[in-house]
Amino acid sequence: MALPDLPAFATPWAFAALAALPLLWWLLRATPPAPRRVPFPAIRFLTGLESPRKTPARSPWWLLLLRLVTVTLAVIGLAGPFLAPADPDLPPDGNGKSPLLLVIDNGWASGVSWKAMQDCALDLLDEAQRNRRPVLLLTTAASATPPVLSWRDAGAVRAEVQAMVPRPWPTDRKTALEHLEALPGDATGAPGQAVWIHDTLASPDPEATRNLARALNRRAALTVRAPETGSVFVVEEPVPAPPYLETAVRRSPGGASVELPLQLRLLDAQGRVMDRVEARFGPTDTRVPVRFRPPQPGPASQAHPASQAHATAAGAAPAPESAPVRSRSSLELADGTGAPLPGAGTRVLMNDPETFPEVGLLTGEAASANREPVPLLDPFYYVEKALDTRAGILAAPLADLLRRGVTHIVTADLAPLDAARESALATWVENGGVLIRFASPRSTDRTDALLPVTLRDGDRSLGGALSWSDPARLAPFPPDSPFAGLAIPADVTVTTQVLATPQPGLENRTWAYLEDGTPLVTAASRGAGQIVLFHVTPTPDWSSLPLSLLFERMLERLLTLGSGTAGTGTEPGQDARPLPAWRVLDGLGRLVPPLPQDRPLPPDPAEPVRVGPEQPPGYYGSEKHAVPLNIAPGVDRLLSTGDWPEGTSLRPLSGQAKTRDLGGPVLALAFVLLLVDFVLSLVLRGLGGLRMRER
Amino acid sequence: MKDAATPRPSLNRAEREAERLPPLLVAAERIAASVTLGFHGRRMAGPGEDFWQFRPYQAGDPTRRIDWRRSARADQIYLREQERDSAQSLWFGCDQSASMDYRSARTLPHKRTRALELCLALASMAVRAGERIAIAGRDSRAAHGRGALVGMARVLGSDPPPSLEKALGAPVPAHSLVVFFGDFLDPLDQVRSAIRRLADAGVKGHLVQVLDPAELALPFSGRIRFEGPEGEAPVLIDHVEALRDRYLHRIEAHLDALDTIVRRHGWGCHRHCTDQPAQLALRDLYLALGTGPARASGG
Repeated sequence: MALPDLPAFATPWAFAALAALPLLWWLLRATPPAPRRVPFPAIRFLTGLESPRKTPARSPWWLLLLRLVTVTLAVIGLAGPFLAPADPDLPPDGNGKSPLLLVIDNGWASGVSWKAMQDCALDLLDEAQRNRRPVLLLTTAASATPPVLSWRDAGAVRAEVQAMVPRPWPTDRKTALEHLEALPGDATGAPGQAVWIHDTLASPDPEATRNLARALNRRAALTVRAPETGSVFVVEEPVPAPPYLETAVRRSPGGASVELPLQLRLLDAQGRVMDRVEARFGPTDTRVPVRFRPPQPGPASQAHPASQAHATAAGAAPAPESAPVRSRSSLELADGTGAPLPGAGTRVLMNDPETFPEVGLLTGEAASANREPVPLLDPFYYVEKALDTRAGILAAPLADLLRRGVTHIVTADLAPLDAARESALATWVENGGVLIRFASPRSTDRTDALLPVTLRDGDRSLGGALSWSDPARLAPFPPDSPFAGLAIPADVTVTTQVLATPQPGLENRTWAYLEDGTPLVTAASRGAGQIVLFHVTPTPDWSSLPLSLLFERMLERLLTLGSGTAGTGTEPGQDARPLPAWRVLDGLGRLVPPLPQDRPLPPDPAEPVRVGPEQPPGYYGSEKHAVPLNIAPGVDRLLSTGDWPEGTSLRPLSGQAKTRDLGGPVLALAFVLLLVDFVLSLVLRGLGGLRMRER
Repeated sequence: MKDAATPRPSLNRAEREAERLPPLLVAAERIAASVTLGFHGRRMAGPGEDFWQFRPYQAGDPTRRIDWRRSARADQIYLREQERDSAQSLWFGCDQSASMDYRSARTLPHKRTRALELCLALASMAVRAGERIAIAGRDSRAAHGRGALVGMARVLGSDPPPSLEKALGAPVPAHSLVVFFGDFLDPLDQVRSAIRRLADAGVKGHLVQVLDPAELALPFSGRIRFEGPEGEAPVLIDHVEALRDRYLHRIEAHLDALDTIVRRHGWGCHRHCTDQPAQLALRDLYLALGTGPARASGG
């Protein structure tokens, strides 16, 4: 630690210019400053007068000195002086020219502090470049292609780090360690210093983290540069809890024990802020739940069973804008001042119709205003019970439902609508709505066109007093039905049903059968939408289906047929094509076009997809049908690292005193002196002369 | 409508005329007014028409001038004296060459401005005393009244102004008075010959030399390149302060030479420095004009 504050020079050979100073001295002395010029009418009496003191005209000594100092300063400035504080982590081998092993965590968790981490790395590389230390760069985020590790010039590594953006997936330190171990032993000699720019997380693999730290420490003195712990955030995927969306913000433990006010903001597809809710972290909180109102195209209906407006939510919902607002909204975490926290973990992508469908219950015109639901007798009672945790429910006449933009409409009977409303409903279905209909005792007299199959007149009774048969049970669901895989309870029986007229293609439209092969649920697609018919009533009158858990499961499956899914125009269950990446999140939480190596999303949502280098988070599918994939479900825990191997020094990112460049100030001083010299020359030449001439 | 919009032509012209009245004349009249206060006209005995006073006879007086009627009423013998005829003409010349456009400091007036002020102030006083004025080398005969004064101010302020060389060479009627203003720093040959010629023609006169204080003191130092206003070759001097004494010696000699020339012909020479008030110079000039010609005519 000898004289840490002595300035060093980037380009010392510039001092060669100082050799020219004597020449300059001679030149300046040889060329005196121009004399003052004075107009004088009595000049006649001056001609012929000779100066008795015949001294050669010379610049005054102080002007010479000033100019020499100016030139010297300029040369020093061009030599690039800088003050570099000694790095305490440098190995004590003196010259500090030993190779540098640089490890950078560039997983999603680095997003929030990426700027500081990058600056820290650049500072280190600057220093390495000045001392001509070779650098080995190891990044810990998983990558599709194995990285090529080699000792390189610090300048090349610097350019790479400058262009680096964190990856939107977790780190894979186990693989990183394997890459490091695979490095041939002493290519350039042992590294003198290892620096790990760390994202503070031990997860997802604490064991690998420990191993990597040990491996690094074995090779060289390890310095860990990390941001403050507790600065990694993840926003969970929202869960519908009508009328809200419920989500939570998680934080890595071990943060400073101060309150941390954050904002969770709801953005629409265009990135406009639709809503903001405060998420305030207490000193020890690691998880803060947040409730949102889902994005809605219009003012909330009075009939909607809404509780008081939550926080700032929806109080001033923007004026009705039509359907596009509903789709592809996202959540974004911002700090207290409203600046978004960068990172893939602080962004949650949503596709609203799937996340939070809205189901309309079609009521009659007159009864709508003050419908007082009668428990157990109301035709929608069981439907509401089955859906109310999974969707927003609105009971209203058709016009209100259409204006509201619901994704599903349920009718409790087959009573025909008048022509105008029927065509409006048909148009809505064509545009992607899902119409779910139930049979009713009154339903068979006359029907409208909004049915998937043609019905026979009258209904069929099973197991009644006047029939020979027993109440029918359900057959297993056909494999291409959306209900496929649901367990069928033994106690669900059907006593009465309406029957479909046998016709070609009926089996293609049937999603559920009774044991005797008669259809129980039929469906047909109309345009972008679907019409689904339950051949029984929504009440237990005709069957015990509405009482069973199966009923709830079936309706739940139907909710997934939202306009987005139905928008592809394919029959559910037949949509087996994988979804290509449409927009992906980068490590700073920005939506960008996908890279060629991004793999499509497998179509089967039952199998959990792990976010990784091949499947970055983002939207998959197309603009019309975008399926979001988020990081949050894959992040099961946030652990801060604690145990470092013996001898590790742990330092903050910005702890090191910055290298100060003195070249600028010195050059500026030289320039000021140049100006002073200019003014002095003017004065010597006679500013008075200027003043006289201006008259 | 159209007529109302444009001002009447006569008024317009009058305003233009008033506008054109030289500001220099106004300043000169103010200076003149401050000087004439305390001087009560120039009434004195001299060759004239009107009765002025009786005075007792002294030996040597011509007997022709004895007023016998007045002498009969007393024991003494009285002479009758007439008032001096003031119908004299003043001829002016003012140097307005480039060397007069000089001042060594912002606080001082230009030499040319001061010379014009003095010239017009003197003319103004002369006009008020009823005498006639003219510009030498330009006017053929002298005129009186305020109109002559305004006309003269206008001519002096015109561009190009009348030159002093022409004035020095111009014929002037005998027994009139000439006053020349200028710095008279050029070689004196022209001045000497002009004064000799005019004095021979019986013309009395005065020179008013207007100088800048810098020209008398050379208050510069260091390395200076002097540039003449009239195309003289520039002079580069390394240490001005070292040769100040020699310069002062030279200019003293020049001024002495000028004095000698002027005095030899009985003319007056007045030196005025622009850092002195104009009133001072004017008062000197006034006294000299009042006494000089009178004594000359008396003697």
